[in-house]
Amino acid sequence: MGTMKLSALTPGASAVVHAICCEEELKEQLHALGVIPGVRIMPILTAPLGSPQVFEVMGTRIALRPEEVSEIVVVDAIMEATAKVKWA
Amino acid sequence: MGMSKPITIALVGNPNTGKTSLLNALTGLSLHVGNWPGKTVEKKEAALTHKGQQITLVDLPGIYTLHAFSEEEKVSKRFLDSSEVDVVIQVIDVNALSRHLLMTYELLASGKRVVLAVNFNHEAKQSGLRYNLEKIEQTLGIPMVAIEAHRGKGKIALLDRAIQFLDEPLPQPEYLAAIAPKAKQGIRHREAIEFFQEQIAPHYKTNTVTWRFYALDKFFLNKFTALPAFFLVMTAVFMGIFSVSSPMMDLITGMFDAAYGHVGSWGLPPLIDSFIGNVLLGGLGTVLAFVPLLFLLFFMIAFLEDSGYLGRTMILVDRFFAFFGITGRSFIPIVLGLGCNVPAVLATRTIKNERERIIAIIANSFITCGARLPVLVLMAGIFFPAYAGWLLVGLYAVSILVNLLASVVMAKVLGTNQPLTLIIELPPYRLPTLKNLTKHAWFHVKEFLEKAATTILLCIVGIWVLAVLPFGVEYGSPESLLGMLGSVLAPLVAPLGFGQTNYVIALLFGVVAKEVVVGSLATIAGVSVENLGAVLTAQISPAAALSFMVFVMFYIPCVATIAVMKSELGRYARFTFLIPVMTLVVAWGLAFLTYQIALQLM
Repeated sequence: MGTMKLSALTPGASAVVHAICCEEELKEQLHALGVIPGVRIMPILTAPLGSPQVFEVMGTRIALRPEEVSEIVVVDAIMEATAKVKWA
Repeated sequence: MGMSKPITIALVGNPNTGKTSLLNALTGLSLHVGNWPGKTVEKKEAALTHKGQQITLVDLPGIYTLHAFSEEEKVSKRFLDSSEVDVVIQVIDVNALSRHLLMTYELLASGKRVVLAVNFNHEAKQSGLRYNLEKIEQTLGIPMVAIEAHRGKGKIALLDRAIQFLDEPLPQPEYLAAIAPKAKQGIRHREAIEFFQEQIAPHYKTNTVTWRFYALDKFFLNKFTALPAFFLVMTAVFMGIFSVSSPMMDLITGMFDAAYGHVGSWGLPPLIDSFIGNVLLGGLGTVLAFVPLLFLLFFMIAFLEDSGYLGRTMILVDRFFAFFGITGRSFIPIVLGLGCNVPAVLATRTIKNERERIIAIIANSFITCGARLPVLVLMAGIFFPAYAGWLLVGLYAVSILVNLLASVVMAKVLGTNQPLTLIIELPPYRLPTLKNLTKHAWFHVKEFLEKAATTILLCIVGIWVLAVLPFGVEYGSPESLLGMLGSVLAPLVAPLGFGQTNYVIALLFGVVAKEVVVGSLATIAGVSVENLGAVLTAQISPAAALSFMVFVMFYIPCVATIAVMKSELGRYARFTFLIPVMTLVVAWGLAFLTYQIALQLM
């Protein structure tokens, strides 16, 4: 079970948050939005201009700039799309 | 606790949980409900009586944590820490239960008596979420009540439970020992997640992908369709506003014109005849004709907010805004400012970085608000009837561009401190209710009507008095007080192409309220609304008209906006005086530029 950077994950894949490296305030903000060690996170898409990136975590969608994404380390990556999608 | 003693209930919750909807349902108030992070930017209080029990309800800004980062989080934390709150009702979206419970643990750890109002159950069932609320309630050990906030369902049960809860001992859930071993030190997030996965997840079955976002985000945030969709939505919104409202406006001006024709035949004394014709029918009538336009403007802005689309525009523009030294967060005040700058300035509280927030507040002076719109619509309709709609959309684009350029300049002046971060939640897409949109639009239209009956009427009467004095002069002639005042001020704007008395006076009184500008143009012209066009086109060229429109777009924000900017600038409040100065300089400069370019091209 190797760790990798969240930024290396492509849409459709998912992984479990392992650690957040950044400074305390940023970490607290990420925690409050559900980016917490032990939680599964899934890249959804990247905004048309190349940033920010949208993730699904704890039943919500959040957007992060690449600077924040690169601070997040994940484990247990499932690289293929496993999500069953029900269309609205 | 006895039934006679009044109690205080605080409403808290993450953004987009339906907190404001619940407050409206509980109190019958019509506060605006939005769907973007940070709708309630300051606490709102309401009093009500439930089954003989007096209750003060305090609606706090939507926050994610009791750790205070942003201005709105500080407001909430300060209130929860200091006041005697008897019960905290935390509104949660059951679709993202585990995330919302994070704040529940924080509230419990700080010793609060928490009732969970579980919202969006209908939506959850539709999306295939299966959960057992009773089991979850037992596990959490605190009261939970299912509600549907926007329909007011469950509100009685919620209040009953909250009041009854006061007679019960304060719950001391065992799981808190692991999650929040030391009160006041925050919670251990990892333990919170483990607790949820072990104890609550068995009663809560969720899909891996929340479908409610999926299809729409695939279109609205897609690499290829997102930006075309964005421009299409924005253009459609504004073109829609103009094209739908213009026949209604024609109808209203037609009515005033018909009335104008009748007044002349009544044989009234000239002064009274002039007052009715110029002030009431001409001036005020012209202002009132814009009611449908403003209604639609606020209706559409509320639609963008409530649907969840406005929250997503932050994502679309963020990269572009990064170039200007700000983040996508600054886009919400820009869009709201197209309606009214006052709520727009308040909305900057969601911006966490102080420097970015100061920039957003000041730059909002350049966003053309709904009060300035009548001037643009009137002038565009008279001088550029063939392509008025496109001209207006273009002018809006210019307004936003100037806002961004001002942001760049300020970012340079204020200097860079830390790199800006963007950590935001995308609101779920939700179908706005007609009731809420109408309520929101009516709130602003009512304000406009009240202003028309007071400030605007007063200004127009003032202008009329200046035009008829001293007695015996020809109405509005150079010999009247108005004419004299106009000729003193005219040289200041003469290089912009509109040095005539009526334009100068309209701008002068427009400082009080921008709506006055159209009213005073009509009052001074002394003709029916329908003939106003002929008067104005005889005075100035289309190039000067364009220059006038640009000047009106950018010069001095209204008094209410300046006041709210001052209070929101906080420790920078002493720089407020720069706002009128800066806007006048920019308005003059841009109008001059417009006039010179237009003269070459037309």
